[in-house]
Amino acid sequence: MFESVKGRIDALKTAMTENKPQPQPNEHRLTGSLADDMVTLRAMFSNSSDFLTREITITGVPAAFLMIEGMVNLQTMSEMLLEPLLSHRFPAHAKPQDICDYIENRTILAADTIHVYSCEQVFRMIMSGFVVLLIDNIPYACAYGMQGFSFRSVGEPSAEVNELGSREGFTEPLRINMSMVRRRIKSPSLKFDLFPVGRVSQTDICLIYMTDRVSKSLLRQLKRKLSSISLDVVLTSGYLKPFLSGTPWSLFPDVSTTERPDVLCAKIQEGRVAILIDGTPFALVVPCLFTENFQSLDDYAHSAFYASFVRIIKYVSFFVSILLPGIYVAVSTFHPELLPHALLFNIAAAEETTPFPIGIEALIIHFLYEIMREAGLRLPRPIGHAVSIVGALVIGDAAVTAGLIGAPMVMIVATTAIASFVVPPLYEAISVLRFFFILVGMSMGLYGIILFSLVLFVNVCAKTSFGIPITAPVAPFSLSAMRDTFLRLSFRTLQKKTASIEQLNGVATGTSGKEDTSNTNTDPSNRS
Amino acid sequence: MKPIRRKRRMVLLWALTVSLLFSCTGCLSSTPLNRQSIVQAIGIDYENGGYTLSFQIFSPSESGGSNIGASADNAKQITSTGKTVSEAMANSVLVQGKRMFTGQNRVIVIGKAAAERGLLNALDYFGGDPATSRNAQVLFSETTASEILGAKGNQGILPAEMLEQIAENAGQHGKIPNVKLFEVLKAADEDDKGVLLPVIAQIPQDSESKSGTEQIDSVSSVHLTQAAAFTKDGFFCGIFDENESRGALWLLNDMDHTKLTVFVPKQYTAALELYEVNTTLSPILNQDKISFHLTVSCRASLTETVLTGSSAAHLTEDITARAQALIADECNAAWARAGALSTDLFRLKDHILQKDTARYEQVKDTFDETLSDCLLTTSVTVTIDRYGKEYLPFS
Amino acid sequence: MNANARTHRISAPQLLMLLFLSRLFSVLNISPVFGTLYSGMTLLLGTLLSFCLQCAFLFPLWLLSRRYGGKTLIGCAGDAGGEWLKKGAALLFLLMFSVQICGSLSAFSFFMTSIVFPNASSVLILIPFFLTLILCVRWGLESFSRAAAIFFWLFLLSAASICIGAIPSADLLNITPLPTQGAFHNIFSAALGEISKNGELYCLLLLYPSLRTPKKAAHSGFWFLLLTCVFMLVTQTVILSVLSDFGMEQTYPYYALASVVDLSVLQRLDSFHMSLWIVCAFFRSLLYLFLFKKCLGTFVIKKKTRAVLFYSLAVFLFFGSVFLADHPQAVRALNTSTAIVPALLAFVFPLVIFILLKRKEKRNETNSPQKTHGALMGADR
Repeated sequence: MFESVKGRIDALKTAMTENKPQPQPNEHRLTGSLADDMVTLRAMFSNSSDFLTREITITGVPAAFLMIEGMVNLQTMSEMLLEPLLSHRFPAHAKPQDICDYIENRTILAADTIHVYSCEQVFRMIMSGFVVLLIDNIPYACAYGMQGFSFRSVGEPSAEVNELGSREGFTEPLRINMSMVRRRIKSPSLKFDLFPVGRVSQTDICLIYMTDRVSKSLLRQLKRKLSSISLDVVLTSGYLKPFLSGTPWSLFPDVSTTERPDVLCAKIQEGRVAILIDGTPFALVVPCLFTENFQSLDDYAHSAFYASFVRIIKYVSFFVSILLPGIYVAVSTFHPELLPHALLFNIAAAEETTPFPIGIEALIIHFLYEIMREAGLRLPRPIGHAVSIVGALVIGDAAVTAGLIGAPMVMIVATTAIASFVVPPLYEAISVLRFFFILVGMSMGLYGIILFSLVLFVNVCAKTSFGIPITAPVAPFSLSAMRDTFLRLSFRTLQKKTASIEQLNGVATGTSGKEDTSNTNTDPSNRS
Repeated sequence: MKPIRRKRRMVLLWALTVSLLFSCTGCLSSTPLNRQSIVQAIGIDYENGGYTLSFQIFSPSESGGSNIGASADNAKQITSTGKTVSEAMANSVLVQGKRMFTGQNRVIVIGKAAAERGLLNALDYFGGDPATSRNAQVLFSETTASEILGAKGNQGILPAEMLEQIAENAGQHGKIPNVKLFEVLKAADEDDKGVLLPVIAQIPQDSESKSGTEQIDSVSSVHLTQAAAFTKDGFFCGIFDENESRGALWLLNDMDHTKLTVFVPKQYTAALELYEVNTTLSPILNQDKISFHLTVSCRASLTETVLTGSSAAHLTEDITARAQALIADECNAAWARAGALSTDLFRLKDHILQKDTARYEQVKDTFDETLSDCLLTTSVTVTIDRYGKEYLPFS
Repeated sequence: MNANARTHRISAPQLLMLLFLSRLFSVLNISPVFGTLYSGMTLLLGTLLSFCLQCAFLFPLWLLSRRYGGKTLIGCAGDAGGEWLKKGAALLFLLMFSVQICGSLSAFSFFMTSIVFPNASSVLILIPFFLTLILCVRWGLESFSRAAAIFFWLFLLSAASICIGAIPSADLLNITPLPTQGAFHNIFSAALGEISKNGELYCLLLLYPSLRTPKKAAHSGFWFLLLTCVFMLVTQTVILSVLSDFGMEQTYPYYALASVVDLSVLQRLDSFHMSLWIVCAFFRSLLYLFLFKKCLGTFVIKKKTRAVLFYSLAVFLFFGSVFLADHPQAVRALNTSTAIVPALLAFVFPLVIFILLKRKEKRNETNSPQKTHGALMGADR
C-alpha cells in the first residue's frame, strides 16, 4: 500500500517538476540567502501591513513562511505545515535540503505544491493565496495552496434563471469555477490554460477548450488578441469583451457571456473556447452565433415540442420588441389603411385629443420606460418597489387619463417591454434599435422601416465571430445545425453528428480542419 | 481600426443621419390621424350640373378614451360638390378642414342621376387614387346616394359597416350580385360587356317591405333585392327584379349557396338550402345562329317541409323537379331581361372568345343587338341529399 | 493559403436567391409606362419561350466556368486579348451597370412617388436609399448574398399569400386566348421583351468565380431561370385570371393584384407588397452597384483612388437616377424591347472570348508542348 502511495507521489513530483514555472529573464531570481530575499520581498510588498512573515528555525536552519493576511487558511497551515515541521525530530546537523526533502516527500500537503524561482513568482503566488516557504541556502521557494480567503458560495445564477436545470452558477474564485467545469466534463481532452492579464492587477484568466474539437486557428487568434491587451486592471469580463469582439460598435454581440457551468460545458464541447476570469462569475465564450441568444438550457430539459414552441416565441418576441413600436408609428402615421377598421377607430378615438403626434408619443413613453427601468435597477430594494408602483401609475393610468398619450400606446410599450425580457442577451441591442425604428418609422413610414431592416440584416450578415459568420447556420446554411436552431428536435435526432462550430464558416472543411483550396480565387478584380 | 477607415465610416454615418433628419422635415407627406377624416362610405350624386359627394366619416362620440359608442353616434355625414368627382374630393377639405382618408372606405353608392351619366365618370377617380381601397362594395340607389348614407343603422361601429355587411350577406346568399370597385372598373375598361350592380333602397317607414323584412328601427332601414344593369359603355339601362337578379347569379356562376322555397298550393311548402352550386355556360356556335346552354348542378338540403293538403306522392322527387323548374325560370327571366336591354351582362362574348376566336371577331361588334335572338337552353340538376334534423315532413 | 481567397465566396443557392430577388424587381416593375405589355395567353407563352431562349444563353457561362473558373469574364478577356480587351470589356460592363442602376433607381422612385408617397420628391426617396446602398456595398458580396438568402424565403411566403388570397377571385375565363393573327410574332416579341430585362444573365459572368464551386455556375443559372419562369407564370396567371387584360393596363399590374386581395385581418395587402418591392429594388441595386465597383477595380488598382472614384461616380449615378425618375419617357426609351444587349453581353461576347482563349491555348501548346491549359489558370493561383 505504501509502495503505491509512494509511486503516486513520485509521479506527482515528476509532473510538477516538468510543469514548474520558469523565471522570466527580467525577474529577480531567488538568491538562496534568506535575509537577502526577505529584503527584496519586503521592498516588493512595500512593507504592506497585510504581508505576513513568520520566521522560524528548524534545527538551526533559518526558514520563513510568507503569506497575505486573510487569504490563507491558518488551520490548514498549522495542521499540515507547521506542526509536522516543528514536531519532527530532524538529525542534529540537518541540512537545508534535508528539511526540504522531508517536507516534499514525507508530509501530506496541498496538491498544488509548486517550486518558484523568482521574487516575482513568489509575489504572484502569495497574491493568489499561497503560503510560500523560504529556506536558507535553498535557491527556490515552495508554494503551498492553502487558500482560505472569503468568497461567495456557489448559488443560483441571478442573470440566467431556469426552471429545470442545475442551480449552480459560477462564483468569483477562478479555481472553484474551473473545478465546476472539470466535474461536468470528465474527458482527457478538456484543457485549461491559465495566464494573467492586466499590467497592475495581474488577473488570472483561464482558457478552457476541448483539444480534439477546437480549431487551432481559433485558439491562435484568441491568444493573440488576449496577449495584445494592455489594460492596467481587468476586473470584470466586460473589460475583455471589446478586445475579443471584431467590431466594437456592433449592436449584436459576437462574444457570449454565461454564468452557468452547464451552459459553458455545452458550448465548449461544440468546439468553442471559454474564458474564465478571476473575480467575476461571468465567463466569456467565443465564437458566438446570433441564434445562440435564443437558446437556453431549459430548452434541453423540456420536451422537444415544448422547447420548439418556446424557441419560436423567443424569435417572435425579439422581432416584436424591436419592430412593434416602429411599425405602429409608421402604420398609424403613413399607412392607416393597413389597420383593421375597428383598431383604427380605437386608435383614432384615442389620438383625437392627445397633444403630440404618435411618433413623439412613442419616443417619450419609451424614454420614460427606460428611465424607470434603470432607476429600478439601481435603487435599493425597499425603494425599488415604490418606483415600480409610481411608474405603473404615472405611465399606465395618469398619462392616459390626462390625455397626454393614447391607451394603445401604453399597450404597445408594455408588450414591447415584456417581449424584450424574453431574450436577455439581446436586451442592449433591442433597447437601442427600438428607438431607431421609431425614428425611421416616424420620418419615412414602412419604407424607412424596411430600409433600416435591410441595412441591419446586411450588417448582421457581414459580421463574423472569429471567422464564423454569426448568421450561421441560417446563412451559410447547415442542415445538421438547423436541428437545434428555430426548433429543438428530439435528442434521438440531435445525437447524430452535427457540424462543429468551425464547419459553420461556410467553407468546406475536412475532418482535419484544413480548408478547401481547390478553387482559390486570386483575381484581384474579384475583391470589392 | 485605421483612422482613415474610421473617418470614412463617420462621414457615412453622419450623411445617413442628416438624410434621416432631412426626411423628418415633413416633405414626405404624412398627416396625423387626428387631422384625417376616416371615410367609410361615399355617395355619388349628380345634381345641378355637377357631382355631389356625400361622405360618411368616423366621428367618435367619446374621444380621448377607449370607448366608442353605438354606431349611429359615431358617424357624421359631409357633402361637397364640384364639376367633377376629383374637384368635389378636393372641395371636401374646405367643407370640414380635415384631409379625407379613403383608405378604409367600404361602400360606394351611386345615385341614379350619376349612374345615367356613366359609371366611369363617377368611379374613375377612385380607381386611380392609390389610397382608395379597390375592394369597396359598389351599390346603386334608385333615388340619391346621400339618402342611403343618411339611413340610420345601429349595427357595427358605423352605419357603413351595416351597409357593407348587408350587401355581402345578400351576395353570399344568392340574392344579388356582390360587386367590388375593381370589378366595375374592369368591366367598364373591357368595353364589351355590361355590369350588374346591387340596388340599395330604403325601407318605407310606415309599411312592411315586399321582401317581408319588418322595419325595426334599431337594426336596419335599407334592403337589397334587385340589381341595376349597365351597358358596356357604363350607362344605366334598367332594373332586374328579384327573380331576374337571382337568374343573373346563376348565369354568372356567382351563386355559392342560396335558399329556395317551393310552394305548391294546397299541397306543401318546402324550403331547400342549395350548396355546392356549379354552373357552366357553354356557347353552341352554329353557322347562322349562336345559342347557349346552361348547366346547373347543385346539392340541396331539405330544411323545411310543411304539408298543407294531402301528402304528395314521391314528395322528394316532386320537390326536386319543381326546384329545378324554378331555377330554370329564373335563368330564363334574366336571359330575357338582358336580351330586352340588349346588353351582354353574362360575359357571353368571353365564352365565345374562349371557344372560337375567329367567330368572336366576327360577332363582337353586333352581338349585343342580336342578343335577344340568342336562345338559352338549361339543364338543371338538384340533388337532395340532406334532410336536416327532421326527415319526415310536418303536416 | 491566401487568406483573402476564402473571403467573398458564396454558395450556389445563395447566388441563386440573390439573382432571383434582383430579377424580381424587373418582374414586379412591369408597367405600360415603361414599355409595351402583352396580355393573356400571349404573355404566358412568351414567358415560356423566353425561358427556353435564356437557357441557351447559359452555354458560354457553362464553358467558361468549367474551364476558367478562377477568373471573371473580364479577367478571361484580358488573357484572351490583352489589356485593351480587358479594359474594353470592363468599360462595357461598367456602362451597362450604370444604366441598370440608374434605370432601377428611377423606376423604384417612380413607383414610390406614384403609389406610396404620391407626388413626393424623388430626391427625398432616393437619398436614404442610395446611402444605404453605399453603406451595404462596402460589406461585400457575402454579406448581402446571405441577407438575400434569408429574405428569399420571406418573399416566397408573402408572394404565396398574395396568390392564395387572390385565388377565390380567379376565373380562367378572364385569360384571353391567342389572337387569330400575328400570334407567333406577339409571343416572340413578348419573349424578347422578357429577355431584354434580364440583366442578371450577364451578372453571372462576373460572379461565378465568387462561387465556392464555380463549375456549378451554369447549374445555378439554370435554376435561377427556372425559378423566375415558374414565379412569372404563376403570378401572371393569377393576375390575368383575377384582373384579365385590365390588370395589364394598370400602372403596376402586380401591385394592382395585391391591392384587390384581402386576407381576413390583413385587409390591404398592397402596402405589404410595397415592402417586397423595396426588398427587390434594394438587392438589385446593391448587386449592380457591387459589380460596378468591381469593374472599376480593373481600371484603378489603388484602393484609395478607387474609393474616391467610386464615390464620385456614385454621386453621378444618383443624379442620373433622379433625372430619369422625373422623365419616365427617357426610361421607356432606355428599356429596349429587343434582346440585343443581353444577347451580346451574355452570349456573343463570352463565346468570342472563350473561342479566343481556346485558340490561344492551342497556339501555346503547339509552340511549347510542356505548357498545358492549366498555365493560363494556374499562373494566378
